[in-house]
Amino acid sequence: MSAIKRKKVLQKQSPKLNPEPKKNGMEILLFAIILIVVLLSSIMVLRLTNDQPLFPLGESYYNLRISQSLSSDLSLNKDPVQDTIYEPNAFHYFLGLLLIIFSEQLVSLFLPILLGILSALLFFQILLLLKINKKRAGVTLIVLAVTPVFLILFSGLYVAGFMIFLSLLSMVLLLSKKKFWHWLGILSSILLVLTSLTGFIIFLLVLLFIFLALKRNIYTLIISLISSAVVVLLLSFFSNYTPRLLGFHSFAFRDILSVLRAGMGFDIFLIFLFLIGFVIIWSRSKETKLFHLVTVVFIVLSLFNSNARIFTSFAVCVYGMITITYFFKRKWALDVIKTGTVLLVLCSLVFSATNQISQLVSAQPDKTFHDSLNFLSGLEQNNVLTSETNGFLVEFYAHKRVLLDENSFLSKDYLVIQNVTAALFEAARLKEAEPLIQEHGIRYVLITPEMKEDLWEGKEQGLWFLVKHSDRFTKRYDWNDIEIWEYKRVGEI
Amino acid sequence: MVKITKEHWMVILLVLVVFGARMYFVFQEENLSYDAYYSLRQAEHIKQSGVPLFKDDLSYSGRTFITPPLFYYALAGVSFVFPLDIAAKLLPSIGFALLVLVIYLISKHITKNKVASFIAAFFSGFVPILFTTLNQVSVLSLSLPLIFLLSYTFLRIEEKGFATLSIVLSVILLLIHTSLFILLLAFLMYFLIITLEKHKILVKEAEVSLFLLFLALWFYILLYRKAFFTHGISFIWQNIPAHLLSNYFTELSFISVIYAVGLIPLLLGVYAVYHVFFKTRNKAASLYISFALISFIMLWFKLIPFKIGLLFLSMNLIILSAYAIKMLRISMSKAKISYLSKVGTALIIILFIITALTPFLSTLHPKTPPSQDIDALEWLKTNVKDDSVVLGRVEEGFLINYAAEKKNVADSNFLFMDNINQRYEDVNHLYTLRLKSEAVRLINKYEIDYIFLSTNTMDALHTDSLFYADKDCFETIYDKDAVIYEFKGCKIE
Repeated sequence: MSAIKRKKVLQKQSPKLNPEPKKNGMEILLFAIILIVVLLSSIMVLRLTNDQPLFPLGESYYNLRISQSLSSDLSLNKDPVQDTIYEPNAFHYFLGLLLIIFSEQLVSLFLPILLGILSALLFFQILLLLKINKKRAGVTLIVLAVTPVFLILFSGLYVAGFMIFLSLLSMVLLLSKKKFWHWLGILSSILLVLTSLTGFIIFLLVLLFIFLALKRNIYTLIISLISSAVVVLLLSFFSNYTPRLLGFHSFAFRDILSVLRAGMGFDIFLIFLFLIGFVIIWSRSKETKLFHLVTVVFIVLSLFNSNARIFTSFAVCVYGMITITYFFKRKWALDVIKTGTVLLVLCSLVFSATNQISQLVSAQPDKTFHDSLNFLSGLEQNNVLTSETNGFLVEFYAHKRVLLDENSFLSKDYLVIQNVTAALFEAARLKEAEPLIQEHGIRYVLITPEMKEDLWEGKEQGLWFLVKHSDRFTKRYDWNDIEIWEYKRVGEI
Repeated sequence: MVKITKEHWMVILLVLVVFGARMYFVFQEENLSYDAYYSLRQAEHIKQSGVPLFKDDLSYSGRTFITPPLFYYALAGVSFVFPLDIAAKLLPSIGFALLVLVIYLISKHITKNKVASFIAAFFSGFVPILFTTLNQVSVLSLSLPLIFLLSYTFLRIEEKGFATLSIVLSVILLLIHTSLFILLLAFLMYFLIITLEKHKILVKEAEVSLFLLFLALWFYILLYRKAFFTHGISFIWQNIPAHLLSNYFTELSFISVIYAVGLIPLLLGVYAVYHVFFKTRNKAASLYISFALISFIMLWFKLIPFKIGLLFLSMNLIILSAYAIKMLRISMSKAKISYLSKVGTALIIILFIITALTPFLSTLHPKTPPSQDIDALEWLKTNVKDDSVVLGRVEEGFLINYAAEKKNVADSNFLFMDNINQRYEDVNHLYTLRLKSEAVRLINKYEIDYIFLSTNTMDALHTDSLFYADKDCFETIYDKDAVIYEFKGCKIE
C-alpha cells in the first residue's frame, strides 16, 4: 500500500487525524471575510446607487484632499484651502503615496475595504496567538463584522481605521517568534505613533498585557516605545508636528451607544453579550481573571475616549463570541428557549449591522448637498460660513475656506472663532452680523436643512432671517431646502 | 374537574366586591380623566380601521405615536359589546379586580396560608394608590395583573406548562406596556439575592429570564429606535417639559409611600423583608423583595414615573405583607391565649381600613373635565372648520382632539416633539399674557385659529377672559361657562 493510501486509511480510522475541524475553522474564517466584504461594500454600493458621494461624513474627504496635496508636494506644511498649519500624519502620507501609484477612484473604492479585511485577518491571527481556536476566532470575526465601530472605520478613509490597522499589524509582528518581524513591528509602531499618539499609548497598554498574559519578554515593547518616543520628539522639534492626546470627551450616552447615533459607539446588544460572556469567563478561569479585569478598565476608559472605544470594540467581540458559542453548545432545559434565544441573538446582530449601515448610507453628504457644493465651487474664491460639520465637505468639493471645520479645535483661537460663529448664527440684525462678516472675510453663507433645524428650530430666526430680509445678501442657490447666500459690501451692490 | 371550594368562593366574592366598588366609584364621575381621551381615540381608530393611530393629524397639529397597541385593541374589542365610554370604565375595573386574584395566587404560593393570602388580596383591592387610576383608562389595568401573573408563573417555572405560559405572557406584555422591564430587572436582582443567600438558581429560571431579557431589549429598541435617535437617553423621561418633570417624576418620600400604600402593608412588608433576609430565607419571597427593591431604586433615581413606581412598590409590599401576616399568626398561635391569632388578624384588617381610609377617600375625586368644557368642545366640533387649530392647556390636548376633533397645540404625549420646553411655556403664556403683540406673535407661530378657555383654566388662573382678547383680533364665538375665542388673523407690524 502506498504511503498516501496508508495515510488516508489511517485518517478514516482515527478521528483525531481527521482534518474536518481545521476545515471548519477555515470555512468560518472565509465566511467572516466574505461577510465583511459584503457589509462594507454594501455601504458604498447603496450610497452610489442613491447618487450620493462615496463616503459618509466629512473626515474621509479631508483626508483625501490633504493626501492629494501631499502627493504633489511632500513638504506640505499648510492646508492649501484653509491656510492653517498642517501637522504631519502618517496616514496622509500613506494615502498620498497610494494616490501617486493608483487613481483616486481606485484608492477610494478599495482601500477602506482592504484595510478592513487586513485588520480582521490580523485580529484573527492575534486571537490564534492568544490560544483561541480557529473556529472561535472565526466566530469572533463574524461578530466583529457587524460591530458599529468596524463598519464606520472601514466605510471611509479614517485616520482611526489606519490606526487600528497599524496597531493590529504591530501586535502581530511584535508577538511573532522571529526577530526579523520584531524590527518590522517596531517600524509599524513608529508609523502608528505618527498616526495617533493616543492610539499608540492604548496599543502599548494592550500589548503589555498580552505580553504578560503570554509570558513574553517585553524588551521589544520597550524598544518600540523608546524608538517611537525619539521619533515623536525629533518631529516635534523639526516640524509642525505636535504630539496630542485626542479623542477624549465627557461622559455622555449619546457618544457611547450606536442606538443613540454615536459617532463611534457600542451596540447595546453587543454590550449585553459582552456582559454575559464576561460573567461566563470570569466564573470559569481563575488564572486569567486579572487579564479580564483589564478589559473592564478599558471599558471604563472607552466611556471617555473614542480611540479606546475602538480597541475595546474588538475585545467586546471576543466576549460576544464566548456568549454565542456558550449558547450553542450548552444543554438547555427548554429547547424552545434555546431556539428563541439563539434566534434573538442572531436577529440582534443583524439589527445592529443594518442599523449602522442605514445610518451610514443616509449620512451626509447626499446628492442634493453634493449638487449645492458643486454649485458653490463655481463661484468666486472666497470664505464660506457654514456649520462646523459641513466644513470638510465645503473644502473638498467647493475648494473654499470655511470659518470652522472639524479640525479647528486644534487651533489656539478655536474658542474665539466658535463664539464668532455662534454670534453670527444668532444675529438677526445686520448691525450685529456685518462687523464679524467683514472681519473674517465671509462672502458666502451655506445653509442646510440640518442647520435650519439645529440652529433655528426650523423657524426663520437669527442669520437665516437676516439673509432673507437684508438687501446685503443675495440668494445664489436655493434647491431642496439648501440655500447659498452671497454677502456684498455697500459698494458692491 | 376542579371542585369549587369555600376558598374559591371567598376569592371570587372578593374580586366581585372590588370590581363592584370600582364600578360604583367610576360611575360617580360622568367623564373620564383628561389623558383617558387618548385611549378612546386609539380604540375608535382601531374600530374604524383595524390599526392603531400612528400618524395623527390632530395631536400637535400632526405627529407620530409610538405605543404598544394591545391595550387599545382590548378596549376596542370590549367596545363592540358596550359603548366605548362604558367599555373605558369597564375594562380597567375588570383588570384591577383580577389583580386581586393574582395577588391571592402569589401570596398563597409563598405562604401556603389561605387567611394571610386573602388579607393580602383584600389589601391589593383597596390600597389607596390603585384608586388613583379611577377614570384614567390606564394601560396599567392590563399590564399590572399580567406582570404579577408572569412573576407567578416564574415562581412555578419548574412545573409543566408554566415556562411556556411565561413566554406567552411576556410576548403579550411586550405589546401592552414597557413596565415589563421592571420585572426583568427584578429577576436580575433576584438572582443576585438568592446567590448571596446560597440558594441555587434553577436552570429554567435562568434560561427564561435570559430569553425574556433579550426579547424585551430587542423588541423595545426596535419599537423605540426613532425615539432613542431623537431624544437620546432622556427618552426614559419621555421628553416631558422641565416644568412638568417634577409632576411625573416626583421626589420619593416616606409620607408619599405611606399615603399610597397604607401604613399597615408598608410595616408588614418591611417586617417580611427583615424576616426573609435574616431568618427564613424564603426563595419565593426573595423575588418580591427584589421586585420591591428595583421599584424603589427606580423611584429614588426618578427612572420611572412616580405613580407607576408606587403601584409596583405597593403590590410587592402587599405580597410581602402576606408573608408577614403568616409569620405573625404562627407566633400568635403559639401563645397561651388561643384566640389571639384571630384577634390579631382582625386588628390588622381594622388598622388597615382606618389608616388607608383617608388617603383612599382623597383619591376618589380624580381630575376630570367638567361637562361644560366638553359641551363647549362638542359645539366646536360642528361649528368650525375641520383643519382648525385649537389652543388649550397641555392637559386638555387629548380632550380637544377627541371631543372637538380638532388639532391641538400641545398635549401630554411629548415624545418626538422638538423644543417642548418652549412650546409648553408658550402655551401657558398665552393664557396669562397681557401684551397683545406678544400674544399675536405666539398665535401666529403656532397657527392657532381658536383659543379654548375652559372652566378649569378660569379657576386655576382666577380669570374669566383673556386680557389681550380685544375685538380687533378676536371674536368670542362661544360663551357659556367655558369661552372660545376665534382669532381673526391680524399680524403685528
